[in-house]
Amino acid sequence: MKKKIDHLILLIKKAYKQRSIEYIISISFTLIAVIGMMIMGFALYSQFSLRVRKNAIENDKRVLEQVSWNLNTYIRNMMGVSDSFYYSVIKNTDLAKDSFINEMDLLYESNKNNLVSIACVTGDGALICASPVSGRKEGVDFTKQEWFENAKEKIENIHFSTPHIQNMFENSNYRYYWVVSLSRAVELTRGGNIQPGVLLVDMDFSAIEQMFAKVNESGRGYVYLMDRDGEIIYHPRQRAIYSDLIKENNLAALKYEDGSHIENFGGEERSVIVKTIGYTGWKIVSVTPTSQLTISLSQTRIFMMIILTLMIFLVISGNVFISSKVTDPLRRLDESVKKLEEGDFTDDHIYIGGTHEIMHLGRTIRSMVSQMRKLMDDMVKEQRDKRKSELDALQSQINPHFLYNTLDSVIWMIESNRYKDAITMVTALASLFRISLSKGDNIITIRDEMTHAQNYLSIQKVRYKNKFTTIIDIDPEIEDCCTIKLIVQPLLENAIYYGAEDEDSVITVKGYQKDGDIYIEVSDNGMGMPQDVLDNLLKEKGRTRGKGSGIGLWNVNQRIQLYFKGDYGLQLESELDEGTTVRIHLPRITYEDYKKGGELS
Amino acid sequence: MKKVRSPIFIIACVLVGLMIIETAIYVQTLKKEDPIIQVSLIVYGSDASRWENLKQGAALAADDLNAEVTLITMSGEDDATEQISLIRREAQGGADALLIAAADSEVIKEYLKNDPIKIPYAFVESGTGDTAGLTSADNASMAESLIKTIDDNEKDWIKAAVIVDHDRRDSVRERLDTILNTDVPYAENVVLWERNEQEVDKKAQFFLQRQLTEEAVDVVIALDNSSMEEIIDAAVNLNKDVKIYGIANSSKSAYYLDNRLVRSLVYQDEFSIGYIGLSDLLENNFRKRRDHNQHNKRPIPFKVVDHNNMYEKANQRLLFPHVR
Repeated sequence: MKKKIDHLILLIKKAYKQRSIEYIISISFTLIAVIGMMIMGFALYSQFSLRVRKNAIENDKRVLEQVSWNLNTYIRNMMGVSDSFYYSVIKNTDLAKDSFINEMDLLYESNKNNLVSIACVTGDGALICASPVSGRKEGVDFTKQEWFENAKEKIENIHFSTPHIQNMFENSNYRYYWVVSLSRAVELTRGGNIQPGVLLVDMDFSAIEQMFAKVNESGRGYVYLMDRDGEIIYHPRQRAIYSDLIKENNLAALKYEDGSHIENFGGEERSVIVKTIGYTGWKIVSVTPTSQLTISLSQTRIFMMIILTLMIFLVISGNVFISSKVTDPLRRLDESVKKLEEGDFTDDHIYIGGTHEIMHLGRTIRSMVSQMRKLMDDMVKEQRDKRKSELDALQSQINPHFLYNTLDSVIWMIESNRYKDAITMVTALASLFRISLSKGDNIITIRDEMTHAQNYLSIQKVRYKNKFTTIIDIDPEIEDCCTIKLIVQPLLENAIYYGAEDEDSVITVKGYQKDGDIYIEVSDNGMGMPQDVLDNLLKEKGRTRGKGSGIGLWNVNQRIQLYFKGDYGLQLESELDEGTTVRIHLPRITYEDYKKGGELS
Repeated sequence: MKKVRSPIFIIACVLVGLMIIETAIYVQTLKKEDPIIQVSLIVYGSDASRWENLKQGAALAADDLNAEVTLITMSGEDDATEQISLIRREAQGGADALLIAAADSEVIKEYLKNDPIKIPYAFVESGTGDTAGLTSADNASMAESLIKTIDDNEKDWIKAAVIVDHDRRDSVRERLDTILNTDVPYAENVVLWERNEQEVDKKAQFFLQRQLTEEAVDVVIALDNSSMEEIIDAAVNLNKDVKIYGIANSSKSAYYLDNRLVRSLVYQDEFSIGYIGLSDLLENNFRKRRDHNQHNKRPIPFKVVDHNNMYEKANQRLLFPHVR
């Protein structure tokens, strides 16, 4: 069992760990609130229903007490009638000399609302007198009637019968009376002799019926009366019981002690309260179906359920709203941090909002990101500059073979008295160096770059004894635009070394603008190169040191891309036995603009 | 967020649904009880007290099923035309259901066939010749019991007269048919006292007085309350000692049973007829009883009672209605 509980707790913990903070807050608070409300609702309802039931039973008891008191009073009155007549009249009358008919009439008259008749008979069933005066029914033997037999059987008691039709006197209008007979054995005096007799007071059953009918008119249940043997004296559905249409649990109720009981009868739970009437032994029984006791409770129960449901709904809504309010800034901050993890160092993305603490957290993270980004930018810039410097330095190096060969050519010219040619060559070499230096500026005009290229070509032409022809066609409109210095010369170097193989070799330099950009093409009509070689030329690993200056196309391409952000650099085209074209793609930026702004992109 | 909100959204929807259902139930419980069903109990004859037992039974059933019963008697004994007009009046006048003791079974049957009434109805004591929709004791059995009682009591009876009146009621007709068809000694000496067409408008009591004077019979048999009371009146008027037997349960019959003019009565439990008749009518057409409020379903009992046993508990409880 403990293992199972531990396992369950573990599962809950695991489930909780996998959930978001908002989920945990919503569900936890909702569960706690709902359980709390349900316990409270159940406790309140239980107390309330208990109280209602108790009050209903108390109320029934009070009603029962009232009926009991009324019935007791009625019975005592009837017993009083019997007592007073016996002790005040019969005992003081000698029937041989006198009669007590007047006293009987008087007594009847004063109690006639509750009485049907009073009669006194001798021990052998002879009628002495009766009130109201009426003829004895022919052929009726009193001694065989229940009231007479009871009185004779236990002479010391007063006896009460169950309701029956009075069968003693002639009635007019076919009227029959339901009566409850109160009989007692009496001692009659006749000529000084004591004789046994029976005094009968027939109580009007209607009086008892009315007493109970009034109580039964209202209320949730009903009240009935039975004698000490369980025989029903009054029941609101007496006729139906007599006709065996319905049943009553009177025989079970007979065994109940006075007080309240719960019984099951006819498939129904009933609250039964029993009260015994003194002397007669009659029992008044109040029966209320428990469903009736709580009939008003069903409404209350449904109402409470509506309130409870509404409360749960509000609690859930409130919890969702509050947890959302509390956790939404956290969630958004979390999303910001996730973006940061993905490499987005834009500090604008860091969420700042919610409560004071979360705002502070957001601000701190944003500041941290800002600092990180600055550091990274600085680092990138530093690296870039370093790279630029390296490439520029590499580019600026003059191939010592080129210088040695050029100077050797100049010496040879001087020795052969070709001073003019020597001067031209030295001048071109000087110009070449001047542009190479360019006051340390890496950005020059296309015009200067092309001058540098022409100087280079002039020197090479001398050295190569005019083995190749050059064509330079530069759009004058682009001559004042910016370029990186010394990017055409390496291309020319390659064109000469790989393309100038015979006297028909032509090296063409063409500069033009297209779609707002500048293109400078260096073409040769040499042997060209295969596509796989072409594909590797711009890759770092494809760098090869040939017989040129040692500065590869890769270097030129890298420099362009470092200086100009965007899709700029070299484009290569080559066909075997046709030649090769290297195209420089540059943004169109005038040197004047560059000087003003100092920015190339 | 979607993960969090979707189960909560479902719970919220369930709660709203639950609230709607609970509110509907609550409103339902606040509604008043079912409206009271008005039932008209249209009986033959003009004597309301004769129907006291049946009315009390019907009233108790009405009480159980939240209905109200109004007893409607006629000005005459068995004027079918009047009863039809009462049926029509009650059916159109707001009664929700009718409980009818048919004054003339054939005429009422014909009327209902030609001009069906639009509210539920059922018959008690006397119907339209069909046991369906009729609550009554077994008339044939009652008649058989009566014959047997006569046979037991009157060992030397030779001639019996059966009053044939009100036999347009199927209950009386069935009793009569049973008596006529029962194989008893001296059966060939059973005569029928029936008014002819000239006498039909005269008071039955005078016809019976004449018959008692003119035709000596050992036993006179009355098959219904009216006939019983008429023969009693005739015998009392003539001060003639005649042995009267019959099927009846009026106070007058009981009184003369007590006085021994009537030798024996077969009486049906009209309280049960009223109770079961109305219960069935309401339960079949309007509302059901709650389980705990069920009554015993059983045939309507009848008893044979004479002077000696009429005060026995079981008999007096059914013979003498509680007068409230």
